[in-house]
Amino acid sequence: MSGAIKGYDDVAVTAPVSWGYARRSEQGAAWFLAGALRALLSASGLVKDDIDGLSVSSFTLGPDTAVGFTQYAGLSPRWLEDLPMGGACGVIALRRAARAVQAGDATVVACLAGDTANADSFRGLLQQFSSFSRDCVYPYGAAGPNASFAFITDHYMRAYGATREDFGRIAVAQRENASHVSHALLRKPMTLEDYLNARPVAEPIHLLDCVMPCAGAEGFLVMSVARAEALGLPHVRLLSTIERHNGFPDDAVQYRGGWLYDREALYDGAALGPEDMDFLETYDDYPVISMMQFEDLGFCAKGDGPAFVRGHTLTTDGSFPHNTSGGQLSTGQAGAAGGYLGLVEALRQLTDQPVGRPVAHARHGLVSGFGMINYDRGLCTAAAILGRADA
Amino acid sequence: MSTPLPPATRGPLGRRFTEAVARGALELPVCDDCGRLQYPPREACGHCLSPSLTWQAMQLTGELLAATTLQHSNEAYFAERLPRRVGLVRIADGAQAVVHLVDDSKPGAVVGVRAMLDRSAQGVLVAHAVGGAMNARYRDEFTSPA
Repeated sequence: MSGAIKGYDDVAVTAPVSWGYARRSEQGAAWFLAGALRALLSASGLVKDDIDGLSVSSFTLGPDTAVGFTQYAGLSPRWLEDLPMGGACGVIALRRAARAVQAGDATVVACLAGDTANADSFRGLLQQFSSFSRDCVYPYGAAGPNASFAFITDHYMRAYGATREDFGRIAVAQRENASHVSHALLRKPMTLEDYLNARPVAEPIHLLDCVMPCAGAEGFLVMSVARAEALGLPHVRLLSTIERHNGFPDDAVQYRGGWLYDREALYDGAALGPEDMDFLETYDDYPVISMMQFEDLGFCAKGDGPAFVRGHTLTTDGSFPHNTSGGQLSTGQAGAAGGYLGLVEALRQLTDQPVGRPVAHARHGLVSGFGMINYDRGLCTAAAILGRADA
Repeated sequence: MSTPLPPATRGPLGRRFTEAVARGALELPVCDDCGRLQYPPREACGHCLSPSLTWQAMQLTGELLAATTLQHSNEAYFAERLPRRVGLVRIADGAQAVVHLVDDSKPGAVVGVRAMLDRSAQGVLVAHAVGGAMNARYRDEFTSPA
C-alpha cells in the first residue's frame, strides 16, 4: 500500500513520435534514437539546446548506454536516465521525467526508445538476456520468451478456462485497429480462423500470439504545462502513475502482476475509476499478458478475463477500445520502443492526432507497461492515467 | 561446416553447476542461515540476503507446473530436434526450474529431475515422471557421468 503520493498537476506530455519502422536494418540503434530525437524537435519547434533532460531505453545500443548517446547526438543534458525496463520503460521514463521537471532538475526532457533489428541481433539478445536466463532457460531449447510465456499461458488457461479463441479476440481486434495505421508492419487482415490456424510455436503459443521483432523508435517530450502552453503545443496531463518490480515473487507461475499492489493508489491519485477510462493501452507481448492487465488494472476480476473479452468489442470504435493503433502484435516490436508505443498512442488519442482511428470523445486513457523476463516471469510493471489537457 | 551443439555459454554459477554434474552430482546452493534452496543459483540468499551459501548434493522431485512443446528454436541444434518438450517444475518452496521434459508427463504430475550433461558437456536438468523413463529419442542428447 502506497502512502500519499505527490500529484503531477504541472506536468505536460507532448510530441508523440514514431520513427523508422522497418522489418530489419543495417543501421545501429543510435541511428533510430537520433531519428526519433530529430522528429521530437520537428514536432515541437525546439532545438537541441532546449533539451536539458534525456531518457534512453534500448536493447541493441550496447556496448553504449544513454551516456554514449549524448556524445553521439551532441547533447549536454543536466539530467540523464538509462532505463533497461523493456515493456515498462515508457511509463517509467514518464514517471522519472515528470519528477525531474517538477523538481526543476530539467525543463524539457526527451524520452526515447529504439532498437535495430537484423538476422543476428534478436538471437544475440536472447542468448545473454540475463544471467538467470543465460544459465537456466536458454540451454533448454533456446525458444526465447515464447517458452516462458507458453508456461504462463498454459497455466492460465488451465486455471481460468481461457481458450485460444479468447486470446484470438484480442489479436484480431488489434489487427483491425492496425489496418488504419500506415506505419504498422503487420496489416494483413486477420480473422479468428486465421489466428486459430496459425502454426504452433510453443504450445499453446501459436504464430499470431507472437510479436514480430523489428527496428524503429518512439519518443515524447515532458515539460511544464506553462512551457507547453507557451510553445503552443498540444499536450496531455499526467494524472497518476505507479510502478512495481518483482511483484508476487512467491507465485510459482506468474498469473498476476505488480499493478495489483498499487492499483488503488493509481486510481486514487487521479480521482477516477476504471469506468472513467475511455481506452486502454496494454503491453501486448502475448495476448495472455493483455488479459492479465484487464484483470489487474481493475476492468474485471481475476480469472474473468475470458468473460470480459467475450463480452466486449476491443476495436477502437468498440465497447472497450484496446491497443487502438494495433499494439506490438500488429505494429511490430522495435525492441524497447515496444514499451513506448502504447503511451505514444495514448498521447495521440488525447490530442486528436491519431495515426489510425480516433477513440470517440477520449478524455482519459490508461497506459500499462510490463516487461523484463529475467527468468520465468515479467518483473517490471507500471501504469499511467493520462487526461486531455482541456478535460 | 561444424555440427551444431546446444548453447554452451554459462556464467560462473552455471559452470559450478556443470562441474558437479561432471563428477556425477546434482548440487545447488542452499542458504547457511535460512536453509532456502537457491534456483537459479546465486551467491547471496534471495530470501534473507545472507552472503553465506553452500552447494549441497540433493535429489529433486516436484510438481510439473507447466509444459510446452517447442516447434521453433533459435539454435540450430534444437531446430534439428523438434518438436521437443520443456517444462517448469517446482523443486522447492520459492524455486521452480526450467527442465528438458523427456517423456509425456502432463502438468500436475510429480516428476523426478536429474542433472545430466548435454552434447556441449554442460550440466542441464532433465525430468520425467517418477518411476518413468526417458523417451528413447533423447538418449543420445544427454549423458550421466558415473
